[in-house]
Amino acid sequence: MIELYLQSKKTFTFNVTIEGVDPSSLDAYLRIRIDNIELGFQGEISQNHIVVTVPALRKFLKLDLNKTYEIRLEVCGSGFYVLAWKNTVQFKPSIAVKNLTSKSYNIPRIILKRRLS
Amino acid sequence: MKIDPSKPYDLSFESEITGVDITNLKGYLRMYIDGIEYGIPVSIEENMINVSVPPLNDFIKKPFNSKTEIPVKLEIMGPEFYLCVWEDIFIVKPVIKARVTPVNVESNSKIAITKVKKSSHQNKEVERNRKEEIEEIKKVDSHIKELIKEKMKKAGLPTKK
Repeated sequence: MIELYLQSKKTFTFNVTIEGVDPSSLDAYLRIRIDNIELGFQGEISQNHIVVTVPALRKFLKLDLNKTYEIRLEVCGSGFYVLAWKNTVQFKPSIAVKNLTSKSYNIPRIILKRRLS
Repeated sequence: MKIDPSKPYDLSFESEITGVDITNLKGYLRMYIDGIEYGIPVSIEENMINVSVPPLNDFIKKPFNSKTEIPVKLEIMGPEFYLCVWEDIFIVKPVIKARVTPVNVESNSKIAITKVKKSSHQNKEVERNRKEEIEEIKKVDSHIKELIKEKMKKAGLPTKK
C-alpha cells in the first residue's frame, strides 16, 4: 500500500519499456478512485519512464483518512489501452518532514507492447 | 454546454455498440479542471450511455469563476481497447451572488409618542423629593406661626388656640 500525505506533492516514477508504438502518441494517467469520482493526474512519458506528480490534495478534495483507495496507472492512445499498474493508497495527515516531496517511487518494471497487425 | 456548478446533471448519449460485449466495457466522463482530471463513471447500455454528474461544488473545493471553461470527454475502454467517443467544453454559468447589506432608509412616517412611562426608580425619586418639599414647607409654616404668636404676645393681643 502507498501512503500519500495531504499537504505534500509526490512524484511517482515508473520504469517502462515501450515497444511497437510511438510514446508521444500515448497518454498516461495515474488515477485514484475516490468514492464515485476518479481523480486523474497526467504523466510524462518517455521511452523508459513514466513520471507522474500528484499535487498536495488537501486543496482539492475532502478525503477520508481511514479509507484506502484504489490507485492505477493507465496508458492509452491510438485505440490502445492498458492497465499498467494497480495498488491501494491511503491518505495521511501532513507531517513535518523535509525532503518528502522529492522522494520518488520506483515501481516494478512494466512492458507495453502493441500487437502489430 | 453551460453548467451550473451547484446543480446535478444527467447526460445521455445515443450510441451504437457492435462487435463487443458491453459488459466488458467501462466508460468515464472526464473533466479537466486546474490540471487535474475528474472522472465520473458512466453506465453503458445497448443504445445509450448515461452519466449522472453530481454538482461540481460537491467534490471540488475551489470555487468556480463564471465562464470558466472545462474541457470534457467521454471515454470508453475495454480489454486493451480505448475510444474517446465525445469531446466538448463545459462553460460555467455566471454565478449570481446575493449579499445582505445594511441600508440607511429615510422614512417620512411620523413618530407619535403617546405616553412616556417613568421607570419605577424614577417614580420613587420624584415621590421622595415631593415628601422632602412638603416637610420643608411644614417646617417654614410652623416657624412663621411661632413668630406671629410671639409678636402678638408682646403686643398683648390674645392668641387663638
